[in-house]
Amino acid sequence: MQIKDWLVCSLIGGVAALTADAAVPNIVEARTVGSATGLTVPSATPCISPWHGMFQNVCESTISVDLPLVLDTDSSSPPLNWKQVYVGTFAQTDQGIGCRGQSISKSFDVTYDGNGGAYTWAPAGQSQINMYAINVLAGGSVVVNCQVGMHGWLETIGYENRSHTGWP
Amino acid sequence: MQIRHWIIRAGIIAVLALIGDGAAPRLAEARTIAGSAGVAPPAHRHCFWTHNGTMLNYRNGCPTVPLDIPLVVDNGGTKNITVTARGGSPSATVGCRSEATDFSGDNVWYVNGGNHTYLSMFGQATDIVINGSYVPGWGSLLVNCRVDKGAQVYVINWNP
Repeated sequence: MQIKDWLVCSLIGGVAALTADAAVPNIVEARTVGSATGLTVPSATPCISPWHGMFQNVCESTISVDLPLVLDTDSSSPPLNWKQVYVGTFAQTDQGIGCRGQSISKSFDVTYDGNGGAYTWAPAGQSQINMYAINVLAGGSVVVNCQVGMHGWLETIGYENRSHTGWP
Repeated sequence: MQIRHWIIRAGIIAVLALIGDGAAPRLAEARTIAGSAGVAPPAHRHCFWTHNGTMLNYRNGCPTVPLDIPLVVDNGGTKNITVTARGGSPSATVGCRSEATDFSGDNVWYVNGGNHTYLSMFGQATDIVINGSYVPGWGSLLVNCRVDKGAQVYVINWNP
């Protein structure tokens, strides 16, 4: 009787554990990369000076760069389909660097972060741009599009899953 | 009393099962990156325009340009890759193949004999499916595409 009890309990416990575990998606919650990761900017290549995985715009003019993010696609399913992205910056002047998040579906519909396609601008010196409410579609991609002014630095990019839309 | 014992035992076993499961690595089931992560040879980088995460061979006079997109994998095994791309016609198309190497880079694995798989439809985003790419343990994976003038690589999905 005692052994039978334990067998039944094991079955119940195992099912309970599996059920609970099934709710945990197989994804990483956050990821960090240097700004030069995956960066290919044909029109601005001469201006990009990489350093320790980051880069500086060494030109006198502003360049536009797209920073592609490696996404675990299964995290595009609700409630984890929202991303928040942080970009470390060092701008020479106020509004010397601005970024926006773009979510692109497989069929090429483009949506933007909570700022609606407008750039979020960084102040002069060391700072960080936060982009909220980037809604990822299944099989779609996300890029961070930045305008980097003269001699500005893009540093580390961090991004994480957000399970709700309670953005500040 | 009997029911209470059952509940307690089931609870203990569930906790032990979860703790045990926590030791197992959690692997992503799928991964995505924009086509703009692709790298072209220096002599032809000027042919591409990156726009909304895509890579378009747009410049007049440019030939068909190879584009390598590295794919981050978590382990060795069989990988299935889908490249979503757009071409205007059979003469402005995209063809892709997978290339996997071992840790030393001495050996390369292809599928389909190393032949590229080309778009089957034109004028809209279309998937190029490359299934069964073998990656050895500690090996690396990339997808190599041949992009004609006027053609565009959108996004790449794979199981990592």
